[in-house]
Amino acid sequence: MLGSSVAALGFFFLPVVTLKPNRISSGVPFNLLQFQGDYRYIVLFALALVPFMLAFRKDVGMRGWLLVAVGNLLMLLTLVLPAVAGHHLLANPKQYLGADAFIQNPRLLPTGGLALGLVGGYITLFAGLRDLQRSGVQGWVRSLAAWVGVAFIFVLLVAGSFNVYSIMVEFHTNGALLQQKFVEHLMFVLVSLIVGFVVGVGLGLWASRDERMAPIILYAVGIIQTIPSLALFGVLLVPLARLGDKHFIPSVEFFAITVVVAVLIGLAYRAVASRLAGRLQTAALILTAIIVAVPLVLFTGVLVSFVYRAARIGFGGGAGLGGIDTGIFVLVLVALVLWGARRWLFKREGVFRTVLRIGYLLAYLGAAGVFMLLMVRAAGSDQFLGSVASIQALTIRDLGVSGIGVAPALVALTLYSLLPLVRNTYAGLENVDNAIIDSGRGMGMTPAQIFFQIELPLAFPVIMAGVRNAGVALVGIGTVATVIGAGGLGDFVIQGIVNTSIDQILLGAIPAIALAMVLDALLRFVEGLLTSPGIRHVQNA
Amino acid sequence: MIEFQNVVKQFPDGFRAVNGLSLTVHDGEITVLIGPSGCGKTTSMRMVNRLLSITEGRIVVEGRDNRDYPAEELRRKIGYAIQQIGLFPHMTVLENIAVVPRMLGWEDDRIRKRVDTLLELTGLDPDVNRDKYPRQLSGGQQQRVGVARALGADPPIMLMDEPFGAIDPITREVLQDEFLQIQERIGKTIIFVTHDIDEAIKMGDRIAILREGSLVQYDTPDTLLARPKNRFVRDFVGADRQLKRLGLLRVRELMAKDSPVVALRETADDARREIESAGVKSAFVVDEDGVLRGWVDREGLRENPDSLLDAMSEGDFREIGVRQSATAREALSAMVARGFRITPVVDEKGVLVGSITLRALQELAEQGWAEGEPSA
Repeated sequence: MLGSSVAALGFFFLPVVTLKPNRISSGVPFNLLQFQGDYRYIVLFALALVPFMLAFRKDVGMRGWLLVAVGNLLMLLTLVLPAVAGHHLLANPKQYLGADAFIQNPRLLPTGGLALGLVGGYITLFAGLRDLQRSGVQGWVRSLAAWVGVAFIFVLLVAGSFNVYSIMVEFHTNGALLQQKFVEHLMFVLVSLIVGFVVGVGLGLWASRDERMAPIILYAVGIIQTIPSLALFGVLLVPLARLGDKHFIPSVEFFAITVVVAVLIGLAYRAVASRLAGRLQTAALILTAIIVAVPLVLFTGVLVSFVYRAARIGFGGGAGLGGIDTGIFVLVLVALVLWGARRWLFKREGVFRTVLRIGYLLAYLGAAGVFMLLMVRAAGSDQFLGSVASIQALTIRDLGVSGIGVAPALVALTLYSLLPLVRNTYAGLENVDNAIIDSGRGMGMTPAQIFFQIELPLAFPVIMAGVRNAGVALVGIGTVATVIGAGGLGDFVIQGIVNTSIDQILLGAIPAIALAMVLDALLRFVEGLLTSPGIRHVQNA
Repeated sequence: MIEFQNVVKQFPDGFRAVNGLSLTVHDGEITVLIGPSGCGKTTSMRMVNRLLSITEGRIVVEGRDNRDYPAEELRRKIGYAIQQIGLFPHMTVLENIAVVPRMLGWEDDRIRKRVDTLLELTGLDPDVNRDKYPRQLSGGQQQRVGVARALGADPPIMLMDEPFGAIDPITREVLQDEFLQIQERIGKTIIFVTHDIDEAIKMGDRIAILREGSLVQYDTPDTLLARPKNRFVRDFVGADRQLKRLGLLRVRELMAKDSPVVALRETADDARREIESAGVKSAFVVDEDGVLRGWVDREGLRENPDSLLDAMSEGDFREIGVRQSATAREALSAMVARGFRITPVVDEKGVLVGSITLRALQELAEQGWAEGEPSA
């Protein structure tokens, strides 16, 4: 009902597309009704009105199927029909824009009517899916019904049917650059997520093991989170530029000093805290947290820059994966899949099981191989520490730290990813029922067994929720990194804003949105694979 | 055998939870630790497998100070079941029960067989339940798995901390009965903590009553109920302790086997002769299989002098008799409810095996159990 009104409103009152002569100039809007001489567009109006009538049907199953069909069709045709009309418009743009228009890469900018049509279609589809669920249609059938329209749209997209739309025009002119920026962006997200994961989960663990440290750690990462992203990029500029100075202290000392300072402050707080009362204790806590946050930031910064460089050089500067690498990569995937399916697999008997065990082992060796190869290749490269004679001479700059560019961007992103990771790790571990741990101890499990066999598997879904949160947020915040010259999809967005070109903004934004969704879905999939069925869906139910 | 020798437990905040406890837990017996909350019963139990450290004194487990064992090794030899059950929700029933056997390095096939045996022992169908997750089981089923898991590697000793505490009363009774039957077969040395005196009397071979970290009385349930040592114990076991004692005895052990009987096919005259010769007021009537069918008394025979069938009062054996496996307490309440001074005792098939009188029960209660106690 709602979907129907949204779509109908859009079709009646808002222009569907705007014909533009080039990237910058504004163009001429077209309503659906203005596509003269072609009565096929009546279909769209009809479709938009159908759900109104369907709403009064009582048989939920049939209504569901009809709504799903209408929803899918609405989304598909909302995109296809204006595109068809667009071909006519673009065939002779001067007829509509005037003879003196400067025409370069003319395009159709999708506007309100089209967007509302899509939204209306989506709402209708969703209502239909809910009806189908209520009438007990199987899950995979519902998924199929949900994705069939999108699949069609994707096929048409690849086939070039939508090339009249402005985003596609931009895509075709900027394709190679987009690919490069996309890889850059992906690299930001992955590197900061991986380092953030290591540091964040580590801090979360520490917090859950030491109840007096827990508030400090949680406050410290919380404080980082309150700084606006742009400000954090700016704030990091100074210390990182200083750190990256050739004459600054060597790295070994830096690491040692950072760790010692943080630990000393932590210990000092622990010693004093119990003697302070009420508000004074809170004040001391916040102060300590702020002080601890600074070395934490710097330490993370160096770590991130290092990993980023190692990854870039290790994988040949972002080029595709070669033969051996691919082989090993496949093994890693196999190892993951085997691990996920181990409950089922190890119920098998005899030779099959032996073969499986060997495969399992090989896959693990492969995973270790990837890591080794990466490190060896990075270390052997001239670009990477090649000029450093000994560890003592190794400076922070050699590790890739500098004031502007990729390093500070990665540091900031990593710091942002800390809060959800630390908080979820801590919460996940804290929420494991004490009775469960007690019975584990009572049965004679060692602390390590309790951690790896009980606490970690039980906290895993919560930790993974943190990873997903962090990952999706990083994709978004990553677009801001462009302001300090780090690149990424943000480049298009900022350029688009400067040029007042919506097309360019969308060219950066749409892949970012897609990346966030795919990342989320992928992490969900991994989470599902690795979570025991005994506790699955308990959190999200 | 587990021996507490002057065991003291003092917590870091100075609280003395256990204060010089000395106690011997005998092999193959269920020893119940009971007392009001804060009496140190759970603390004492948790020192046995060293989940808590001992401040002073020592606990000897199977002839060795329990601190001479590595803690994990000690715990793997001691089954552990708690009120909250503590099943691992991410593991199947099989994996839960297999935890200790796995740590002890058992072969997979042996583990599988052991798990099936334990599931059958605790009344769960292995084929149905083996691969279920805890959340798919009811509370009672989970506790059965909890017990099966504690028995996992066949430990000689078990610690049970209110294992049936979180379960509804009806299921609890069932689980208690089942566990007693299991214990009859496996004969483990068990320390059982509870705060429920009825459960203690039912489950315990011996009961240790604790108060503020010290042992007040350590005796068999009979002795405890008959001769409470002091006012605290008397109050703790309750004002109805004489009734509770009746709950410890089975009708089988108390009934008279020579009660007057008339067969259904006999005549009213036969019945009258039987009653008069025995010098009683009534006789039980049984059919050709010996199954109780009713009773006949002098009054009935006077009103219907010619027919036994007319003279007798008929009744189903389930309604007028008590089972020989029932407790004396159940027999008493049956008699009070039905207004009988004598009640027939039957076996599972309803065959009359004897009778028990209200007077006999009354005498038992008054006797004070000074003589003839099973283990005094």
